[in-house]
Formats: sequence, C-alpha cells, structure tokens
Amino acid sequence: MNTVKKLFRHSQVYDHGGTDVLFLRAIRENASWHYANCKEYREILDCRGFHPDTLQSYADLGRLPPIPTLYLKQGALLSIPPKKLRLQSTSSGTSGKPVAVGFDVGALGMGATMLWRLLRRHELLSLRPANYLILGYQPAKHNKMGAVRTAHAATFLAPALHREYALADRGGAYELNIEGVSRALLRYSHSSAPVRIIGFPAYFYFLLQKLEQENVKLTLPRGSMVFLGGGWKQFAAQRVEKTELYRLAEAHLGIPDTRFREFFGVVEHNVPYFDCIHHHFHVPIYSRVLIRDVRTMEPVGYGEPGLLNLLTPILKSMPLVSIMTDDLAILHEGQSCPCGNPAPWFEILGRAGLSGIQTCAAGAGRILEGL
Amino acid sequence: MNLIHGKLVLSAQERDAVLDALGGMLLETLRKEPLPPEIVWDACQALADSVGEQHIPLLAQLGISEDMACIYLQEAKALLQRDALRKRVEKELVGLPSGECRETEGLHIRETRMPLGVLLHIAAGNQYGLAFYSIIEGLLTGNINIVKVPGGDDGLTAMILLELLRIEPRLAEYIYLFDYSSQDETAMQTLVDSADAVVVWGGDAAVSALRRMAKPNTKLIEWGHKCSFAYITTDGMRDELLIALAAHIVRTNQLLCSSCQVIYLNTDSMDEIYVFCKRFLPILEQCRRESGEELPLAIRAQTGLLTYTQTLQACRKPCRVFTGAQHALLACEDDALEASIPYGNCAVKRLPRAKILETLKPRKGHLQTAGLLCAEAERAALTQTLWRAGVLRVAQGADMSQLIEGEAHDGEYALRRYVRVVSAFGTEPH
Repeated sequence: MNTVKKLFRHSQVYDHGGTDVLFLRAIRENASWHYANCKEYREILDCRGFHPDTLQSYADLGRLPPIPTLYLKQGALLSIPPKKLRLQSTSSGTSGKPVAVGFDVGALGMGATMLWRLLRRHELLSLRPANYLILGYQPAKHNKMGAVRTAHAATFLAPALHREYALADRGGAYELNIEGVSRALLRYSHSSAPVRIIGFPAYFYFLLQKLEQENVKLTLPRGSMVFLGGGWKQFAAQRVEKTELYRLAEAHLGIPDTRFREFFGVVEHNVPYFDCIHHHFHVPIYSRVLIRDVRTMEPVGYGEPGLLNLLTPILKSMPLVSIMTDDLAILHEGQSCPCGNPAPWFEILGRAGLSGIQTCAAGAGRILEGL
Repeated sequence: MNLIHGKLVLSAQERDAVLDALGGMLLETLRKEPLPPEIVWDACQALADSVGEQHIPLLAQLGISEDMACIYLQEAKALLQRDALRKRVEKELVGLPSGECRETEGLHIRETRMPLGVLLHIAAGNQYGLAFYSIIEGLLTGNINIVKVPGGDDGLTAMILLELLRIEPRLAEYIYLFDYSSQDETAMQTLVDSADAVVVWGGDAAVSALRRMAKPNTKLIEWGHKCSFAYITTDGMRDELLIALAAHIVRTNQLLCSSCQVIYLNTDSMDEIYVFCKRFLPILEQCRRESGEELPLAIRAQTGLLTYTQTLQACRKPCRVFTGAQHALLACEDDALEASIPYGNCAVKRLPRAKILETLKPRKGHLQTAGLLCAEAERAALTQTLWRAGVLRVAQGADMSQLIEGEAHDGEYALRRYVRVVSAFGTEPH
C-alpha cells in the first residue's frame, strides 16, 4: 500500500506524533508523482533548485516550493489527463478568476474517509432529523462554487426535515428570500426538531442584526446549532468580535456559543478544518500548516504572523501538494489550547492586500443589506 | 441601493416602476432653468465642512482600513472646497460663451453654454468615491445625473449623496442612483437610451460594452484606465534623479494613473538592466526607510505573494526578480507596458530610443505620464517622441503625479465635455 493511503487510513485524526514520518513520506511520494507527471510543476521545482527526493527530514517540508493560489488562477496545472478528472469544484472568483479544482478517483475515496472521521470526531453527525436554514445559495446546476457544495453537503449531517435558503434559485437567477427565511425561523421555533443554521458569518451576522432591529426573540429547540464557514476575513476591518455574534445568537435565537461550529477550507486544498470547543482550528493528520514570512517566504515559528501555507498529499490530479493561500495567519502550539487536542492550531488574521478588495462574504453583506 | 429624487428605494418593484416613468421625470426637470453651479459648490462646501474624523468608523464598517479612510476623507474635503470647484469651472470652461451677443454680417448671434442634459455615469469597479465625484462634475455643469452603481457598491455613494441632498434639497431631482446589474440588459439599455451622454469610468471591457449599447445619437465620454512609466537615458542615470524617481514611487505607492509602473532604459542590453536593478533597489529601499512609513502587514504580504508568484512565473517567462527588504525590481526581457505590483515594485525593461514610437503606439489611449530622466540637451527631442507615441504628460520623475491646478485630466478638461455651446440668430440685438 502506498504511504498516502496509509496516512489517510490512520484512525487517530489529530495524532501528529504518530504520523509525522508517514506524512513526510506521503508528501515525498505525492510531490514525486507531480514532478514526474506535470511539466509546469517540474519546471517550477527545477527552477527553484528543488527535487522531491531531497525531502528527507520533517524540516525539509518547508523547502518544498509552495504554489500560490494566485498562480493557479492563471491556468490549471494537471498531473493526469483532463478526462480522468472527477467532480470539479470552483472558488467563488470574487477576488479574481475562479479556480477550478478537479479530483482524481483515489482522492475522492480518501477524502470521504477523512471527512467521515473528522465529522465523527467533531460530533457533527446525528440521526435526529433537523430543520435547516442555509444562509447562502440554493444549489443549482449552473453553480459550481465549492462553498455552495459544502453548505449543501452539511445538510446531510443530520436527516433534513426542511431546507430553507436565503438565496433562492429562480431558474438561473438568485433572489433574496427574506420572507421565506423569516417564516421558516418562526415555524422552526415551534417545532421540536433541532435547527441547523449553515452559512457565512457575514450572512449570519446580518440576520441577527435584523432580528435585533425588529426585536425578535426566538428560542430554537434544544440541540440546535450554527455551522459557519467561509472565514472571518471580511470582519478584519469591521472588527465585529465573535463574542458579539455569540451574544446576539443567544439573545435572539437561544443558541449558546458552545453550539457554534466553524469550518475553514480553501478550494485549492482539500482538507477541511473544524474548530474545537474553544473555536480553534487544529490541524488534522491529513495536512500540515506552515506560516511563511511575507517577504522572504521562509517558514516562521509558532506565534509569528505570516502567509498560510497548507500541505497535503491527497490529490494526484493536480500538484496542490503545497499551496500558499493569501490568508495571513498564526500557528500556535497544540498545548496552548485548553481543549486537550495536542495538534497545532492556526488563527486567521485576515487577507493579504487592501481591505477594500471584495470577498464573497463581503458580497453577502451587500445582498443582505435590504434585510 | 437606489436613490430617486432624494429618497432611498430598496424594493426592486419600486425601482422598476421609476425606470418605467424615468423619461417623464427627466422631462419635468429639463423644462426648468439649468442648475446654476453656485448651488452646487455651496452645497459641496457645506458637505466638506461636515466631513471629519467621526466618519472614519462609518467607512471602516464598509471594510475600508482606518488609514485609507483618513486619506479618502482628506481627499474629499480638499476636492469639495468651494474655491477649488469654482476655479475648476472657470478654468475648464474659460473661453466658452456665456450668453454674449455679437454681430456678424448683419446678424446678431447670441451664444451660450448649456448642459448636455442627462448624463449616465458608469463607475465600474470599486474605486471609492469615483461615482460621487463624477456626479459632482455633472452637477457643476448643470446636468441631470443618472448613476449605474458599480457591482461592488456598498452603499457609500448613496450615503454621501443623501447627506448632500439633506444640505441642498434642490439638487434632488438632478440625481438618480440605480443598482441594476450590468447583466440586466433591458434596464441598462433603457438607462443608456435616456441619457444624452454616457460617462464611462473603467477598464477596456466596460468601455467596449457601453460602445455596443450606445446609439449613434448618444455621446460617449470615456475615462479609461491609464498607465504611466519612466524613461531613463544613460545621461539621466544620475543619483539625484534616481532618488527623486524612487521618492515618487514610494510616495504614490504606484496606485495612481500617473504612478510609474515600468522603468524603461534606453538600451538593448539585459546586462545594463541587471546593473540598473542592483543600483536602483537600494535607493528605493532607502527612500522607503526615510519616508518613515512602514507598510502594513497585509500590504507587505500581498507584495511578497505577488513577487513570489512572479518568481515562479519567471521559471517560464524570462524575468529576474531582485528582492529587497520591502521592495522588488523585476528585470523583464519583454518591453510591454503593464501595471506593476503596487507599493514599490517596478518592472525594468529595455526600450531603445529608436523603438519608442513602435513599442508604445499600440498602447494608445492608455498612456498618461512619462517621467523622463535624461540630459537637458536631449529633453526637447525625447518629449516630442513621447508625445507622438501617445503620452499625454512628460514630467521629470519626482513630479510625475504632481497635480497642477487646472491641468487637463488625461488630455482633456472634464467639465468641457459635459457642456455644449448653443447659439441663436436674430436681426436685432437680443
């Protein structure tokens, strides 16, 4: 069995100590595959004077040249023939051209196992039917955004009684479904089934603001939860503290902050990050996180801010083994989190560039300004 | 967000109803005496007086950093001063008749300037305040202004306009804001058809789209993106000139149309380009240190990322990257004039003097300022060459972005494009 598969079979999802050696080997194996099968990737590595065989110690991971997501926007890099690609997913493309990521069959299988293990570990799966409120786009054939898929997939974590979308598909065009959302919330509050609210923090914040303005106070059934994804980047300038969001949710929906779950993911990197009860994103064994100095691009230590570099050997289809996002982040030692998970965790500080740049979540704010 | 006659309109139905009735509403206003500019500059002055630090949190709410918010507010205050606006009107419309009657061959001719009528402003992209300033120019010339709010709009334009209309309600019927998407072709066509002229701010894509929509009897006024560069000859490679150019790059952070994006050297040797990069990079770094301005982490991360990406691309496209502590210079083998990575990262390219015309001419309409670093004896001839290639302003390096009061914008006076000259003939003085 190859080392990548071995890594994804490992049952302890946060056991870095037990998988560091395996991870290094899996990265070497995966980088070698891409080096042999993707001409552009080989050119980049050659030009940077790097060969995958030189990945000998764990510290060598930092020498593997990361590919910026920005670079990928200029054209896809492929290590398998296009016809062998399965399930394409695209980024929202609000800060540039959308990036399409195609999976290979092996990655789909490993990804499913990984997701299953992570969801179980984070107690996100439930057999108890739930009512869903999706603060985002209704899935449609014409929409391939990864965020839409993620939100939709999340409505299967517990059997769905009903799904209400804030942005309803009206045959190709999206319409803000204010009335539907308000009606659904009221109806859900009288039901005994728990409610699961899913979407961008910005959408949720605007919903809570509206409830506060109208002095609506609901108590959603016990076991209800809020599942937020898409990051808090857009709040960097707005300085809305998470605590304010928790306060509003408790006051207007009766959901305590312990029932908040967050998700972080980027379309170019196929490992999802779920937060612990202290809302920290610990790094699972399927990936490693490096933070790089913004100027020299050299890895920096714990506690120092820099660019977020994500590594995973999951894909054979595209050389996304080490990608550099445009997120600024800090990596913390696992022990610094009181939750007991020893795996390091990262904190997103914001996005590189001027804050005037529009993100898809900022776009959400625009659409919802009528609420 | 829509703003119709001073009222915010949030529902799409109400907005569509206004669009249906737009023709009639415009006619009502057009029946009246044209708007005198005094009303506009007085209102602007009052608006400028009311703007202050208290508005920073408001801008911050829209996702603008505090530093940028301060800059925007200062700019707004300066641009809205009564004197500045009055001087602009006098300077830009000087020489145009204002109702005088003269006699020619027995005919008494009275000529005066009039507004074009209705301007449709298309402010593409998300450059803050652009739509608002465009409206002010339209108002100063007495026009009715319809604005297609840009896709990324966050309500800022509407908020400022509401404040302006609170100060001066008489302006209300001269301002319409519509939030139709550019994809809504029917609505866009109605807007374009209701205007006497369409004012387009934005890139080539926006300009081309509007050119397709506007009928032959609708005037198009285009303010496209511009690009500026420096041109350096061997005699111009003196320390004091290079320091001045570096200071310009650091001061404007390459964010303006007049900011230097590419440094061209009068050479065909890449070795000379490399030598120049090694010499200029420390000067650029020194200028940044002396400016005392430490770039924020988010900006440094962006430039670092862009430079790194460029380095990877260099594996395929010949280009050497010279990286300093805060800045980078990209020694490229091509001669294309293109936007650089902002905040002090310039491309350095070869452009032998004999090839200036043929290299730059294809960028016609996009060229703005050239910072010319050369011997005084060469200046006149090189200026002529650059003008012929399509460059609008030839500066000396340090002064590339200096705004000379009353200077033309991109080769033209904006206000002059928003008016027309009308005449009436009579046999008696009238």
